[in-house]
Amino acid sequence: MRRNLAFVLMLLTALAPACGGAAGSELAEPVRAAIIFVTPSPTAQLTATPEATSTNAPVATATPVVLTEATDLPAAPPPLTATPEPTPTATPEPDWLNTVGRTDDNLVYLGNPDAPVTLIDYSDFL
Amino acid sequence: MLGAEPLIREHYIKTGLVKLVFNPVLSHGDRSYQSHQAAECAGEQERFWAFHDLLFENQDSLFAGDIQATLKQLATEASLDTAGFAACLDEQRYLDLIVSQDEVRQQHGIRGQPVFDINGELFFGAQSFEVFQTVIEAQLGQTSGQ
Repeated sequence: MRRNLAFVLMLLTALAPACGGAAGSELAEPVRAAIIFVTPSPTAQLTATPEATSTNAPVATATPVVLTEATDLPAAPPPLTATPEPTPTATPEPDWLNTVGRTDDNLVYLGNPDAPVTLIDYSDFL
Repeated sequence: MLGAEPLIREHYIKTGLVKLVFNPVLSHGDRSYQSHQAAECAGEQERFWAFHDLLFENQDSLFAGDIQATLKQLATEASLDTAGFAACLDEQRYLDLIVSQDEVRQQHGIRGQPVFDINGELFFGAQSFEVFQTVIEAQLGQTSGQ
């Protein structure tokens, strides 16, 4: 089809001077031929069958991109695992009512041996 | 003592502010000797103060009858090891100790009973808790100001 068109155009071009000669110089401008090439439409490519792809043809394979952590990036924030606060261990109060000992005089006492007040009870049970 | 002692224990001994020392007074002969030894024998079983309280609570029973039988009966009531307690009492294991403690008391010039020494300040005769409280608080104020 392309050849036919080209042939027609060439013919017209060749005959144009003859026509001008015959008609005289009335033509102000010469007739210009234009060659129009018909390019395949994009849809023609898109309708290519899968068979057109040779198995030997290089197949673009997607290379997986591994995102690695840049070393110059700021350190990742610490994990959000809550660090348990140290539980204040309450020191148990001494059980002074059950603290019994002996003084230097071998007397029995009850309570805090370092108490700021010492109460000595001189008593008989009778 | 007893009387005001439970309140003193609750307010001052329990809180570690007061140390209570017991000094025997042998004012009633053998009954006193036996009773104070009995308290020491209970102390062998870590029950000195419990038996001390029991003796004061049963003070009247100590004046009559067989004093050793009475003491052994009280040991049973206190859930003590009665065999061990009886052996201790029969041996008069703490006679020398209580006699020496009483002698020291006399050497300090303390006569009669009860007598209370609160940081060196003497009080003669039974006292109410309020008296103890006033003196103890005054002593605590002095010691905390030092």
